[in-house]
Amino acid sequence: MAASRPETPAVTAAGGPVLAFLADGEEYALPIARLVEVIRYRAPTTVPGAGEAVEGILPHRGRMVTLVNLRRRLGLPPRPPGTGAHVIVAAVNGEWHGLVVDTVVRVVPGHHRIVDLETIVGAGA
Amino acid sequence: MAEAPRDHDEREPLEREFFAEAEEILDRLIGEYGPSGTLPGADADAVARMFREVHSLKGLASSLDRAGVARAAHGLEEVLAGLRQGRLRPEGAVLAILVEGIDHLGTAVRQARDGGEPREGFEDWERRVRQLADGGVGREGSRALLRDLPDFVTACLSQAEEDVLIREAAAGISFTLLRVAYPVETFDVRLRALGEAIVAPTILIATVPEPPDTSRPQTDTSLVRFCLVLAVPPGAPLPAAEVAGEGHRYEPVVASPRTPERHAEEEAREVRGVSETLRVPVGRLDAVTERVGDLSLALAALRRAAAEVRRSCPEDRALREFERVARTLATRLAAVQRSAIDTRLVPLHQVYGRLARLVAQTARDAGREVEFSTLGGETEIDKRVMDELAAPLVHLVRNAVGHGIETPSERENAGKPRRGRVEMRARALAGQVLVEIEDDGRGVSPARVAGAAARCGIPVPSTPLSIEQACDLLFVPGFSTSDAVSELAGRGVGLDAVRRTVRRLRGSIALRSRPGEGTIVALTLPISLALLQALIVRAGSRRFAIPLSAVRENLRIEPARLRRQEGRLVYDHPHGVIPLRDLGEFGAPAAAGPSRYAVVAGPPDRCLGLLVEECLGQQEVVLRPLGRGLQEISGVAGATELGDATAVLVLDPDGLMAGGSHGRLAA
Repeated sequence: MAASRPETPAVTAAGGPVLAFLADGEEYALPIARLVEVIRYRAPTTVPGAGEAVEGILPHRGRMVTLVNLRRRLGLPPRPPGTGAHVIVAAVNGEWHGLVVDTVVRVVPGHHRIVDLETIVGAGA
Repeated sequence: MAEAPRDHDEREPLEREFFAEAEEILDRLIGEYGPSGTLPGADADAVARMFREVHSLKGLASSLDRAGVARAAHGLEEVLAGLRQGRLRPEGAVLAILVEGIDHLGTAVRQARDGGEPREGFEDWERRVRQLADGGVGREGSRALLRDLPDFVTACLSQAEEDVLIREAAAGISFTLLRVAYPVETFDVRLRALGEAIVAPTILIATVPEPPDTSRPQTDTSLVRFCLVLAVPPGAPLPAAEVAGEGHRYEPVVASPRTPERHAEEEAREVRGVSETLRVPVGRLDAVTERVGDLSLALAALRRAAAEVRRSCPEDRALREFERVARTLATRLAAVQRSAIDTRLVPLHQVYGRLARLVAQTARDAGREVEFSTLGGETEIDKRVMDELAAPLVHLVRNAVGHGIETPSERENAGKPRRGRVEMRARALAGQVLVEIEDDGRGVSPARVAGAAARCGIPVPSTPLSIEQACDLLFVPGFSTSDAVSELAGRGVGLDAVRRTVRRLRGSIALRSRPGEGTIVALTLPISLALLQALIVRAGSRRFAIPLSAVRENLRIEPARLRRQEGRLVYDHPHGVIPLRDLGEFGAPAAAGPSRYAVVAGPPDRCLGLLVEECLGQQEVVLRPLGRGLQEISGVAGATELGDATAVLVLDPDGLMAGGSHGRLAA
């Protein structure tokens, strides 16, 4: 179950078509079925008192999407200034969350490092 | 890891439809049952309406295999049919069974939806219904009789005529149609004469004009035809042939066996068209709002692009035209959004019906006599506000009946009518709804409140208490006036819980009382949770929206009045000291110079000045909730988008105050 990097329970291995993306040079993935869409990163509005990994909120399609920075969430160093990023919008418990990643790379049939959305956004167990 | 459901409600659409319909029917039943807890007299129309409602619910339930609901509906239908046909009288035991049946029906519906235990005593109730029903005869037959009359006759029968017909049929009387044709010039005289010739025990039930027979060539257009429905007991006389006139015809009404097709058709007719409203799952409305949001964002992008082009060719005419059209489009989109939000509004009378019933029950349990009246049931409010409001209203109404209204003898001793009065009023007021619950009971007694506060360990501000102070104390968490935790209103939830809910809905609550005369509780609530009038301000580089309903005034800061008090920045307002709060922690970097304005928000006794550099204007904004993880953050009610794809926080002054000290202004 554990990935090559000794990380958090937020990352497991699983099959099925997944979207692979990069964070600090490492590849992670999310099941395609969970995704709403991928958008270009825009600076969100910060919310005081939000969790450390929460960058803020971004209006998207008439909803407020909570942006969670994957690097911060996994304790990775921050993105170098001036580099762009992608936001992977996914539905978690009926709410839209945006995972801020360095860049989206490809769709693959399976991956050994699947990000657990519930854990990442703090909505799971 | 199951996929998160897009829609909370994944039940079959038919099921959803059923429960929505069932709830509406229950509401209407409770509404008919009457606010005072008695069926309004022998109101035949009300009984007939209730019968129809129950009948359609039974049909729906059977079609969906909801046996519990169908059984309860069937039982109720029996009772109502008895009342309708006059076999049962609207009194005592019968009404009790009727009322209990409505309860059973409600429980059965809830049970079908949420699972749970059947209501106690259901079987016993069914048994009592059967006993009642067995007391009458020929019920089915008499209803069937209606179907044996020509269609043009049944179509014209009034409710009263129908009831007489059913009553007579139940008594085993047979019917005869008398068909006559009279000259246009004299038909009124002839009909009157004919009516006089019909003598007891024969009864003339109805005189119905007969439509011209289109299948035969019109014989004589100078004749008008009528069909008289007569109830003719055996051996009763019929009008003589010369009075009835030439060409008259007697046709006995013969009961025909009902074919299954005919039965199905009739049931369908009765079930069809019971509801004039179209029910739409809230999720679908959200989708509309969402799509309008998409369009607004696309339009904003388009306008930004146009603005960029404008920089290189500022004189371009076509561009100017484009911008004009884009502005119009933005206004129209806002209107569409508004309509989408309006579709969520529901009239308050939906909740009035339930409260009426609650008043009746509470009054019965507490030995009070109460007349409940309502006003402004047509006032509309957001479905979500209404759903959340249900619990506070239940509490307030219970309070009014259980704590407010005195026992009949106490009232008589005080020179008041035995019957107490509780009135609920609602009206729309500038984007808000004002709901008042007034009783003419004993009112708030400062002495009793002081005593109760001492028992609950709540400090009392002064002795003796003023009536205002006493009213304030009622809202303190943990306060309760009842000596024992009362079954009626206690339950460990007090007015503070009511106030919390009301505040969460961005509303306010006020209580006024005169000892011995009564109490008024006034709730002010936003019509919609999604729309609000807001003041848009800029602090540092960021914009914020402040709900206008919370804004008291907009101060231009005189630097001389600024000072520090206990380490906090405060402002010496002519009416009192106001603590100031800068929005730096909200990500608004402190401005270079001192802030120029302070927006004073909150009630006079607990207000706060928010430092801002600029007021950008006032507008209606769509409030979007934040994700669950962010909802608990005090001071933020949600966020909105002002057309430029950036989230703007909507502040909640009440929450901001909870986080720190607040000022008190002299009135």
